[in-house]
Amino acid sequence: MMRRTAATVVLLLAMGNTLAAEPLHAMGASYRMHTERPFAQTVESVQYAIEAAGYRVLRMQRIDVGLRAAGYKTQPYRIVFYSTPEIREVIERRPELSVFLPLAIAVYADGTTTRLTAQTPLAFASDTDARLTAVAKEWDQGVRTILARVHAGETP
Amino acid sequence: MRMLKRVCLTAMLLTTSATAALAAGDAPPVLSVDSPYDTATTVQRLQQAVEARQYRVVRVARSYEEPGTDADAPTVVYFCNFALLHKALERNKEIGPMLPCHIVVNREGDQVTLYAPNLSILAQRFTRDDSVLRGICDHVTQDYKEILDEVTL
Repeated sequence: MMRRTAATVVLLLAMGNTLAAEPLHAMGASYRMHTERPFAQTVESVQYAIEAAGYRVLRMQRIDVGLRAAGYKTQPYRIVFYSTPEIREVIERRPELSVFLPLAIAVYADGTTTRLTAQTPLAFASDTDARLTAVAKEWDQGVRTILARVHAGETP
Repeated sequence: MRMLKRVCLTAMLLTTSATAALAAGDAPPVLSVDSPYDTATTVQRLQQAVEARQYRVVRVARSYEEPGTDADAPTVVYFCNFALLHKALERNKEIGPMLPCHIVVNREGDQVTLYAPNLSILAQRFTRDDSVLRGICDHVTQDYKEILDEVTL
């Protein structure tokens, strides 16, 4: 079921994803999805999906907690940062990409819906660096797989 | 201006969209400046410059964490102006992956370099039709530039 779901997602994205591999210029592009599952469950699912993809959750930025402490009302909003084995290599090849790393997925409540957004690592691809492009594609596939698992509601 | 083809795929599961490319000669998507100081001094000066501009340092972390190699990892100073943050998220919650504000201190050989995202460029897909959000991003970008200048004086 998981494999079919991921395959469906990949197929749908392949049909519509025409991001050009221009270094840094497409950095604003992102993946978005939503689920009707509760926020807390979705955050847990994101963390589980990241680990299941072979990556490591580094930390979670509790944006909502900071805002409330500062006196603002907000719905739950978290950013999950995660590490991949290639981060160090990418930064050594292109130090300026460090501002976009580690990779992150934002999870936020929108009424009863939980929404997620993640930048597409395809933006790291380079016309002059085949290795960087390969890593960017691998990371991009990783993001899609993570989101597919979250959509499927996988939890530990 | 070269334009990336914009494709909006609405799917049951998720949507993706591509953004316009930069025109030739536009400002760089990443701001960078070399520091005349060592890493520790640069990070300290960075924190001071951030707080001098009414931001609060929320975390100082490494870009990656690998046992035995952490010392080489860039240092990321995360900071926040909660008033601006609240205002920005009220306009568009999809900016999350760009948050919090941050500047990276990276040592490459003997040279320490600071890198900061140029939000005026990177957030274009969010600000194109939102002058309020564009103003916030431009404001933060200007703060970044002033912080970088001050750190490296």
